[in-house]
Amino acid sequence: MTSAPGRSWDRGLVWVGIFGAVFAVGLPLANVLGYVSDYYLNLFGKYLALAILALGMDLIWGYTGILSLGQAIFFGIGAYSIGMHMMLESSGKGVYGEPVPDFMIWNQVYALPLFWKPYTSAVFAIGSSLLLPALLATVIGVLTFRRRLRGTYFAILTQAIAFAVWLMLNRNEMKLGGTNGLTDFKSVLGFSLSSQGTLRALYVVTAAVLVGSLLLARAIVRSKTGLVLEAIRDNERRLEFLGYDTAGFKIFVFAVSAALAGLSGLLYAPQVGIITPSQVGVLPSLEIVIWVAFGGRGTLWGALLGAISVNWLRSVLTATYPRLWPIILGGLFVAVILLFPAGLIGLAARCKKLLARRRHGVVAAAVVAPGVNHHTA
Amino acid sequence: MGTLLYVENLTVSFDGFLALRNLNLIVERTERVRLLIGPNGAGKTTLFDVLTGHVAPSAGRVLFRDTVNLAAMPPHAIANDGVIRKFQTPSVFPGHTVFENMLLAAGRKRFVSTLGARHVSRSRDAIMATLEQVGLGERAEDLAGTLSHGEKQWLEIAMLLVEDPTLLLLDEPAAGMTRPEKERTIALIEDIVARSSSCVMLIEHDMEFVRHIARRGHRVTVLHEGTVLSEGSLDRVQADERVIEAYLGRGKVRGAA
Repeated sequence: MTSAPGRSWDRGLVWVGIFGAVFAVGLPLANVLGYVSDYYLNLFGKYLALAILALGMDLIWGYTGILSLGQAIFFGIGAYSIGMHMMLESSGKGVYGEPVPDFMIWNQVYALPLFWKPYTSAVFAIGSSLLLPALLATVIGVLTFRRRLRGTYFAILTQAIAFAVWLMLNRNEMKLGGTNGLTDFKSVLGFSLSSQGTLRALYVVTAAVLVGSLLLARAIVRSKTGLVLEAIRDNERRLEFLGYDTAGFKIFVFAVSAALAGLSGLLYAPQVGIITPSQVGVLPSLEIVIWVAFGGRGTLWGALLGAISVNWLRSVLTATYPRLWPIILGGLFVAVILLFPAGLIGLAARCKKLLARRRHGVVAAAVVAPGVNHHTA
Repeated sequence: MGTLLYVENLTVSFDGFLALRNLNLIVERTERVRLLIGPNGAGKTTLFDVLTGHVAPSAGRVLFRDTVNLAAMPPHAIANDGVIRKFQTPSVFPGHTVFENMLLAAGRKRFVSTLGARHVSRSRDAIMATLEQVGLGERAEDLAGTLSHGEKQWLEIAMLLVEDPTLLLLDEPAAGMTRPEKERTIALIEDIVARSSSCVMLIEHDMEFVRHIARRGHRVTVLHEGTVLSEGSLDRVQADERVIEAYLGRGKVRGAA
């Protein structure tokens, strides 16, 4: 038998199409027609932006098995980049009428710091939110993967970097707003953020970018590169003996995941209206791991499902039990690890299999039944 | 015509323990099979580790095809140069299908060339032909983790074959196999020798297996305590007093007798 094996393309693409139709077209349409409130549309815009972040985490952790605890740094670079641009767009319109963002006045800074200047350009800000994370990831990747730093050491290193970045951002001397971060954005790319049309457009762009990111991630995962990435997760040493220079692959996937995280921050900040150091440090990085684990790692859909469901849960529960939320989140992680390590996607697959077996079992029992009497008699 | 493999005064020290001591070994380019035997701890696997870049030697030279210095190369570069190894325990990728395992072994390994390479059918025929050769043609779409122990070993050999190696290193290919599986493996190795131009270097403990392979007049090298004890045809090696001493000294009468 010489069939031509390989995974089929079509069925998965149909699901991407359905997902895109529901979130990029259906939901905003329902909003225009008044079935979905502006508040919920904006909330979903936030979830979908975070789903892009989870996609990147799934590529590096779920598929390649590299636990990066620094994804929130890349998210932060994206969010701060667009945040700085939005601050500059509205500078001069603030309470003090000075050509610098208001928070700088409070810190006695009256001239725009040099590194802020390029961010007056929207193109630069968007480019920096994508390319700066990728560049930083490449540098970290070259320094670690080429030196065969692996596993836990890499996780600890990225966590340390996340902590350092968080400490730095908290300081006013960084001229990035200190603990308060960047907020009070008036407009993005010239469109007022207080207009519902702008928020609706931001939502549609976010949903479309998410679908695009999903397609990109799928293309990577389904190429031979994807096979190699999974093989790195399963047995990296074996792969080296097959002739693969695994460092190059790891640097690539780290850079892609960082760029996706930056993209996520870029779309998140204007919709939420604030970015602070608390969203950039160690804890938010860990939280991304929980989303992906909860949804089901190494499946892409699991990352989307995990990011959307956990964040939705957070919105619901922090409104009612704000103190309990960290405990619930931690409990969720423990439950996933102990009870369903393959996440929601794995749970669904298991239920499907169980149902199929039961149905199969019923048929088998019916076939066997006539003979039963002979044996028992 | 030069040598395929030239090993000179090779020494490997693990924290003072000499796994290999002044080992000298030459494999000619015309040789098709070289058998490596020796009691446990003789350094057979360590020698393979050095040849594949897994372990750095403390001293000595390892030249492949006269000019390539294997001791100075990283594992992936050695593999790309045609020195391919099979590990003692089967190490296929259990979460990938048999075909995907082969796809990983076949074709280009550079990062850029793998990006768009899933649907390249160029290697597909070669892969299916090799799978047929080892008797796994029917199982191409099954997960490698579902194969039996023997089948995993054959899949691993198929993965090595599709790489078209110059020097194929097999570390106990028949370990843990049932008798029929062993016979099939022997036939497979003879088939490889007959069909390809690669040289097979083989570590094996099972003397029956060794006898089967060596009856075609292939050379046998006996390692003991990190150095070459004896070399030649199987009959000559088995008659060597020092070899008998080495095995008897370890209480392994059954093995070499």
